[in-house]
Amino acid sequence: MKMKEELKYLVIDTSLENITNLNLFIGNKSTNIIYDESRAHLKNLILGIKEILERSNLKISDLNFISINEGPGSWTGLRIGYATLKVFAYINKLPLITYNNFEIILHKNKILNGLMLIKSSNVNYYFSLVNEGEVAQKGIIPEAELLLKFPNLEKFYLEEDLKLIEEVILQKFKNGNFANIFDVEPDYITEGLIISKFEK
Amino acid sequence: MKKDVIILAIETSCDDTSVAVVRNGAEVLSNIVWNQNMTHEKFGGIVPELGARRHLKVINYVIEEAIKSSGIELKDLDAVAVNNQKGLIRSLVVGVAAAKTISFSLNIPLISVHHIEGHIYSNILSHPELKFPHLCLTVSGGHNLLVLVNTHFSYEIIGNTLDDACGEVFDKVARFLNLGFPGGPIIDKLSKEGDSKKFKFSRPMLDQDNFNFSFSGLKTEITRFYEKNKNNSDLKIVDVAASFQQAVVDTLIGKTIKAAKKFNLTQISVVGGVSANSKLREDFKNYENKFGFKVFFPEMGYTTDNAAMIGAVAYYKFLNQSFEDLNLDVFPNRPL
Repeated sequence: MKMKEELKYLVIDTSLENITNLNLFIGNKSTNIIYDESRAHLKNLILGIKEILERSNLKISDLNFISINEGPGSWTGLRIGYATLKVFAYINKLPLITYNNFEIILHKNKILNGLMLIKSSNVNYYFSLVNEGEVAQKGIIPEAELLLKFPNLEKFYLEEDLKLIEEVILQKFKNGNFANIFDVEPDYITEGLIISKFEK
Repeated sequence: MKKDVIILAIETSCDDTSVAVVRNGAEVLSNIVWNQNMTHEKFGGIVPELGARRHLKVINYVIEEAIKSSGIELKDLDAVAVNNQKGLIRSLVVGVAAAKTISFSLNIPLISVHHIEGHIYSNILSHPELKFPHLCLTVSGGHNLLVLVNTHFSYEIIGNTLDDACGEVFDKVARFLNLGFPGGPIIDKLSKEGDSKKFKFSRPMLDQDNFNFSFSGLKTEITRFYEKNKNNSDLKIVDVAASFQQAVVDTLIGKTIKAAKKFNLTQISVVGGVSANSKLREDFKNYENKFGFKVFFPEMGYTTDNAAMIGAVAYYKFLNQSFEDLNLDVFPNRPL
């Protein structure tokens, strides 16, 4: 018998260009739907939400909140995910929690000083520089420049781990850390494009 | 069957985020447009990624305002409609994602509309006396078409631009002359103080036996003219603007009247952002008696991109039960 106190929430990730990733949590159990199709977030996302709810016999009104990956990642992917979930939150009066890929890396590694890296394309990485436990700088950097620019820093990469995501999200839920569904935007990271070879 | 049909319509194809509530395809209960001019004006043109970000940022504000000012509630909606055909793809996806989400959440039908179809219906919305068949001139920053509108959803494109749309040329000329963005309204205003007969610029392709348009040559003509004469102390920008505007207006009207005569149509519908141009309206009206046709222009709020026109089309699609599945995608370059 399902406990009424079990939290039920959707976790959506459209930060990769070709993967639409949906997880439905009922308590600490989750079900998953993944679409592996290039440029298909728009086509698949709402259908995926419908399907994943139906599989668990849930209605939209059974959900406690919804959650989305803020990025950084594919701008178009994030845009489609955000457009969907912002409006979903508004129409269905559900709280929205966002989580950032860098947060996930930090949560796993408890970094004091280091460089967090997420692949952005074949040649570039999103990076976030951590200095004495604080994020000092964020940006985009070509892989070829990484060693030149940050030679001595320990590097931390994003690993797919649903458990970490669940922990980060639940912590935010406990703290009432909900997004403003009118203003919230993905993490585009447009500052700090560093191409030291071509810097004048 | 329910007598009134209330549709929520969404339009995010370019740089205006618009949501409207329309009853029975004719009564606009609300039409909210969030314009992005301030985002793009320093670039002199639309930057697609910035535009797309603005749509995402404001979408819930616009939806809420459209609902609140319409006087109806979400539960009163019979369908949701969206332009998913024609526009900047990064902007379109925001509106389509929103519409699909609303359709699923409220369990109401989803209707897809073509952007240009929306413009065609902006006049049907404004003028119930406009009947089928009629000729439609669609002129904006992105479109420059002559369309035979035979009946609902039955269109035949008889003329198109081979290069720039005239609205785009207004923007480019205005940018070149450092007049600001968007160019159309600025040139319209300045031209009122200028002499439209001062300089005789080309009326492109007017003598050709087709209904196509080409404005990039005219644009080059203006820029070359200005470069050559800008140091002439007698040269007044208002005269350049007025003469340029007249060249565009004469071309549009000339081609349209020719088409109306050929296809024996006495009703001419002029839609799109450039249909707001005061000289185009004035000159067309002057030709009405001379050539025996009636020309229709949308109310000013429906000339530029707006969701009310999408809601107007959607009503007729609703009656036709033309609904879409939840796997609806965008088709940014689909022809009418």
